[in-house]
Order: sequence, then C-alpha cells, then structure tokens
Amino acid sequence: MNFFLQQLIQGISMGALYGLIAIGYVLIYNAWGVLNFAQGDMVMIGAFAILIAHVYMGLPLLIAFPIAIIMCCIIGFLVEISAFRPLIDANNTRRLIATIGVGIFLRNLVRVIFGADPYPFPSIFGNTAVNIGELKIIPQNIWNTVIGFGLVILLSIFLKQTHIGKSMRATAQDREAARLMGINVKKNMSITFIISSALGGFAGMLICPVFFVIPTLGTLMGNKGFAGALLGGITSNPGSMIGGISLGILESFGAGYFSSSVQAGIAYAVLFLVLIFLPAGLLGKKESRKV
Amino acid sequence: MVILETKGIGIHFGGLKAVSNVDFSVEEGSISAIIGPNGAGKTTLFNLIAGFYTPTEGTVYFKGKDITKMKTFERTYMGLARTFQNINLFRELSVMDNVLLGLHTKTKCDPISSMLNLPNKLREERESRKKVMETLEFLNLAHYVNEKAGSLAYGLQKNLEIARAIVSHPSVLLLDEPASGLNTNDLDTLSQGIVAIRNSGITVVLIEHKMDVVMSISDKIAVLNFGQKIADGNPGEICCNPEVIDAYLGKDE
Amino acid sequence: MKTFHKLYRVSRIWILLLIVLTLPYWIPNNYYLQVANLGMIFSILTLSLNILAGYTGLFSVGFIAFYGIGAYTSAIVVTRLGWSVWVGFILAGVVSSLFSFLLGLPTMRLRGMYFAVATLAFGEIMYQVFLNWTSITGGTKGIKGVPSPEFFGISLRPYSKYFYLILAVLVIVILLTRNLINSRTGRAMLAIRENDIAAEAMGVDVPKFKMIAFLIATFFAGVAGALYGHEVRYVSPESFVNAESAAVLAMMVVGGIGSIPGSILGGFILTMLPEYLRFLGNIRLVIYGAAIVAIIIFAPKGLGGLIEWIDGFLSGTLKLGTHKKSTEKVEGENGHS
Repeated sequence: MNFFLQQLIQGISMGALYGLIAIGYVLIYNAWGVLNFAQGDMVMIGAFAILIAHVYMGLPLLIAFPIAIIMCCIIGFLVEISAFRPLIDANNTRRLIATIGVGIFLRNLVRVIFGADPYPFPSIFGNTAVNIGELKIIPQNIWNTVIGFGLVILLSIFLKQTHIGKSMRATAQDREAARLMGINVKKNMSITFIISSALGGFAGMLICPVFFVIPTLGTLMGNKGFAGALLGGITSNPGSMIGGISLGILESFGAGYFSSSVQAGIAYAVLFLVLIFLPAGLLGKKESRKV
Repeated sequence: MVILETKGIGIHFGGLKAVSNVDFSVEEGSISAIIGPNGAGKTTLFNLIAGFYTPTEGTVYFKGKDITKMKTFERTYMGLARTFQNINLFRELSVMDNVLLGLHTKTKCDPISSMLNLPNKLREERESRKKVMETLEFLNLAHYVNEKAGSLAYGLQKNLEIARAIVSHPSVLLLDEPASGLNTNDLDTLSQGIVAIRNSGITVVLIEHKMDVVMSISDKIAVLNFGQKIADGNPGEICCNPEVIDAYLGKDE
Repeated sequence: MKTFHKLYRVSRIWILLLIVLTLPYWIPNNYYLQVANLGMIFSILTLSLNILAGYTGLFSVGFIAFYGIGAYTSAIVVTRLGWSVWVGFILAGVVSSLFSFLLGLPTMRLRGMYFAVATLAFGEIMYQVFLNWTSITGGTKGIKGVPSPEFFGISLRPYSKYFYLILAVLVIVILLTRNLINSRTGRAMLAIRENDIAAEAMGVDVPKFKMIAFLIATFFAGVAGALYGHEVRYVSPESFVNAESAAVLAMMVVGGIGSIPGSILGGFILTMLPEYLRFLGNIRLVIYGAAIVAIIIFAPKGLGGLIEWIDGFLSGTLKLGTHKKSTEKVEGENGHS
C-alpha cells in the first residue's frame, strides 16, 4: 500500500510537469491550428535559461527565475515572428515542417554552445526525502506538483476572468469572428505563443533539479507532454493536465511494478493507443469537418 | 421514375437541428431545385445526400438502394456527382488533372501497372485524356487545359468544377449555387448549360438563390426553411405559395 | 536562339547521362566516391519521402525508421541466413512496406497531424527495437561484415562499381515515381494532398490511396536502406536516430517539396556538403534547422523550382513572369487539411 502511494505521489509530481508542457501544445494548437513540434525544445530552453541565471551568473533563485522566464518569453517571441507568423496562411505541411525546423535549430544551437554533456543542477527545494509516516516524500516533487497545478489554475483564471484572456479564447475559437468583433487577433496569437513558451520553459526549470540539463531534454519531455496533450484531447486545457498526470502515474507504476525500460516506452504506447482508439482524447471535442 | 429520394432525413449538430424530417424526391431526367433563405439547411441536405454528413434520422435512397450508411466515395461510384458552394478545386493541379480526377470512378488502372507504364495504363490514359478534352470543349475550357486550376478566373473555376463533375457522366449531378458570383450575361449561358447537361441524360439537382434561373429551368422545386421542407411543386405552384413568400419576406421579424 | 533551345531540348537528357555515368572518374578518391554513393542513396530516400509528404501530403516525422528496417532486413537475411544480396534488396522493400501496412491500418483514417505523430512514435520505438533486440539486431554493436553484391561474377565491392548499382536503382525509382504521378493512382494522391473533401467527392477512397502511397514510399525507403547497409557493410542503430529523420526532411525541403529533380539534388547536395564543411561540426545541424525554416517561408519550391526555371529558360519554354506568379500562388495558398 505504501509503495503504491509512493509511486502515485511520484507519478503525480512528474505528471504535473507533463501537464504543464501539454498545455503549451494545446494553447498553440487552438490558436494557430498547428502542432508545434518545437514546444519540447522550449522546455529545454527553460532549463538552460535557469542554468545560466542561477548556476553561471550565480543569481539567487528569486531573481534567477524571473530572468529565466523573461528569456523564454523573448525566445518564444522570436520563434513566433520568424517561423510562425510568416506562415499563418500556408498549408499544414509547410507549417508543420517549419516547427520541426525550429526544433532542430534550437536543439543544436544549444548543443553547439553548451556541448552534448549533461549538466547537473542543484536541488531547489531539497532532494533528501522527508519521512511522513511511512512515506518518503521528496520536497522537490511536492513543490513541482503544487507549482504545476498553481500555474494551470492561474492560467485558467487568466483566460476566463481577464479581458485579454477572454479575447484570447475568442481568437482561438474563431479567428475570423474575433477579427470582425474588433479583437486584435495578431496580438492575441502572439501572446498565446509567448505564454505557451513561458509555460514550457517553466516546466523545464522545474525539471532540472530532478533531471540533468541536456540539449535533448526537449525531445524527451516534449514527446511526453505531447502524449499527455493527445490523451487529454489536444484541444482542452484541463484535458491536457489530466492527460499529463495520467501519463505520469502510468509511467511511475510502470517503473515501480515492472522496470524502468517499461517506463520509457509508456509515453509512446499511450500515443499509439490514443491515436487508434480515442482520437478525440479524454476531453477533446470531436472534430467536425467543414464541407 | 424516382432516382434519388430522402425519407424523413434530419441531422442535428449539438442541440441545433440543421435539417429535420425532410422528404425530398427527384425524378430521373429532371431538373430539381432546392431553394430557401440563407441558413435554411440546403447545403446540409446536399451533404447528407452526398454522404459528407451522417444523418441522425431518416434514410437516403439512390437508384432504389438505401445508401444512408454508404461512404461518400462509394456514392460517387454509384453515379452521384456534385459541385461545392465555395469551389473545391485541386488548386495546384492543372485543369487537365482536375478533370482527369473526375474520371477516377471510371478508370481502374492499378498502382503497379501505373508505375511500369504497362499498355493497359497507357491506353486508359489516352482514352481518359480524350474524354477530358471533349468535356472541356463542351464547357469552353479547352483553351486553359494546361493552366493551374487555382489561377483561373472565378467564373472559369465554377465551370471547371462542373466539368470535373460531369466528365464521368454521372446519373445525378448536385449543383450547389452554380450561379453565385456570375454576372447577368453568364447566367443565360449557365441556364442553357444546365439544360444541356440534363438533355445529355444527367439528372440535375441544384441549390440556387437566383430565382430567375430556378424558375426558368426547374421541373420541380422544394423550399426549405429552418431545416424543414415547407413546400414543393412546380415553379408555378411555388411562386405563389403564401408560406414560401412569408419565408422569403421574413414574416417573423 | 531557337536552334539553341531545340538543341538543348534534344540533348539535355544525354548530357546529364554522360555526366552522371562518368562521375566516378571525376571524383578524386575513394572516400569522396563513397560519399557520392551515400548521396545517391539519400536521393532515393528523399524521393520516397517526397512520394508520401510531397505528393500525398502525408507528413512522416520518423521516416528514417523504414530506411533502418530495410538496412537491417537485408543485413540479417544475408549474414544470418546466407541468402543472396539481391533477395535481400527486395525483401528490404517488402518488409519495410509490411511494417508501414501495420502502422497504416489504424492511422490512415486519422488526419495528417496525427499521422505525423504516429510515425514519430513509430520511429522512436523502432530505434529502441534496433538497440535492444540484441539477438536479432546485434544491439549497439550492430551487424558487421554485410557483404557486397555480385553481378554475374563481378564483385560490386569497389565503390566505383557499386556506384552504378545505386545509380541504376535511383533511375528506376525516378522513372517509377514519374509514371506513378502521371496516372490514376498518382492523381488520387495529389488530390488527397490538395483537398481531401473534393477527393472523396471524386470517388477517391482516401484511406486506401494514402495507404498505397505509404506502401510505395516505404518500399523505396527500405530498398535505400539495404543499399546503404551493403555500401558501408555495417549496420548499427545510430544510423537511424531521430536526427537522421531531420536530415532527410531537410533534404526534401531544400530540394523542393513535390519535385523529383529537387529531391535528388537535395539528397545529394546535403550529403556531400557536410563532408566539405566538416570544420563546421555541429553547426551543420543548426544551419539545417534555420535553412528548413527559411526555405519553407521564402522559397517553398526549393532547388526544384530553380532547376525548373533554368530548364525552362534553356529550352525556351519559360513564359516570362509565370514563375513568379506561380510562387505567389503557393505563398497565398490557403491552409487546408
């Protein structure tokens, strides 16, 4: 029973991060209608940003975090204006290929600068387990869960309550109608992109204490986040959080009850199974075609 | 003889009933029209007939067969062709290739002989191209055979879509607003063209807003409003039907 | 001027053939000859990706997996079972198609984006299989001593002789692809890319023709993989990692999506170039990434568009202004899936 709980907690804390990455995919997919294959690489950018700010520049975390987030926003914005905005009316294949190009570019640029070796990152909230009853709890995991959920709740409040959030949702729902209502569609799509990049980056910052910082971090985490987004239904924000957490729990149980090599395959198995049996995901809308 | 028929057909999207309980039948060799205000469900009815939507109620019969569960492409194989309201051409392909695609159901060359250029493929290609040229000439498009479909003027694109639909000589042709965007001069040509298509043995069903076109060529007219059929009959009956006049003048508002 | 155009039109294919056939004598040493061979193999692979992505609009992210399946299939049946290399080549294509069939069954009815994701997952899974199924694939050590084929007693082992085998396969693949595109099947594929709704209305069984494109493309990719295995005589997992899929993608984009000459040049040049630009090291992939984005935005027709233009210019069939107009069309083309 304890082992079960232990794995569950572990799974939820990792899943919260997957969910955070997944939401980035969903936001961009809804606003831009394209699957952003470079979203995972924003996670990697976030990890390196905090590495630079905290470890290299030696800034305290309270200052390093905002700086790293700003770095992610700037890079996200650059990606948006250079590879997304010019292709806004292009066909899907071209847009998809452009996002893959961006991913290749970011990943290898970081590799050229930092090398392919992993960088360790000091624990932020402590990596020594604290005993609570018979459970061993790692503070970092708890904080990751709390922050992950916190951000998602903040995001949904932002989208539902603020003026800009509402107009962002309107843009995502129907770009043409939003334009007719006088909403600045371009600006909203930009903001959506930047927020998605920042969320991805934030997930990367939370991951680095429990993971090494490497240029391929993005591919790894991106695929998991994407599997979570797909499981949640690719169009639904709460769905992607649920999808991410489900994936985290599945992985954690896979590793705990079978082996860690099983864990590595779970995300892909989930991807496949969802694609085949549940293309609309857990909470996604069934796509209706326009004829 | 009735060639195409819907019985109690309907579909709702979420809570919205786009089409409900429509009985509609088309006589072989006739020109039938579906009219009604914007949003009355005319194109939706076409999509139900052509198989792009699956109805939530009712049945569709084509040549006496229940085709409600059939896929779109299977209906095309049975001889049901259509054009689209907002032109659905293969924009990057040539006029020739577009119309050749209209012959898809009439050709059968397999991928292997296609790749190896076996005699059966070459023969089929030759015959197809000949047939396409005849159709293009019939619709005055022969001059543009090597142009990209997307680079043609609007009116020519509409013509090309019709060429693509009739090259296979279907039994029934569904025309979704063929007159929209055409100027008055072209309307007469269009009307004559539709009659010529019918005379060549193709049953025509059209959705149209331009009442003079509808009234001058249709044998039978059905009127839709709010997803329901409110009247049908020959042009003479329709034009003085009080319900139809209400629907068009908007009694409720 | 007119006579020049006519002369060019008659002679262009022969000049090209002459250059290509004598290529082994122009290339200074064995090393670059091997690179040229690899370049042609990648041309075949790029061409097959183009059948799928360029003509049918089905974008595959893990395409290198099928190349890998081909390489392993041939290497395994030749080294373990002692079968003829020629049988290995054919089997490589067949087995690769078989995998695509199994992957295609559930995924062909999905929309394009989902298909891309499914192939991504498939690519990752196949890499893990190559790496971990040690009893069959040799794991990280791979399979050594993959033999070269013989042709009527002549060993094709020297790169200068193997060159002609690859060239022959490349020419066959080009011809088959060209014939395919000008046929009922090819047009159905193009129709799916352009507008799947209209394609259905034409009577095209969309999932079926997507599957046909997938089977043909992966057959060629499998054969290319086998050619690779017998060229380098060694097959190991790191040749089939995700980054390689990215390289093939770059080749297709640089060459021009949907262009046969473009695919060939893209595959060839992007294989040769890094060898001359070795000093760049990892920057190569950075440039790939940036080039993909830039070409997609500014020159979606890639090198293929340039070749068509030059060819049109030399043969006198170029209508002034048409090239510009047609690229504008591509730019303004509306997204459709």
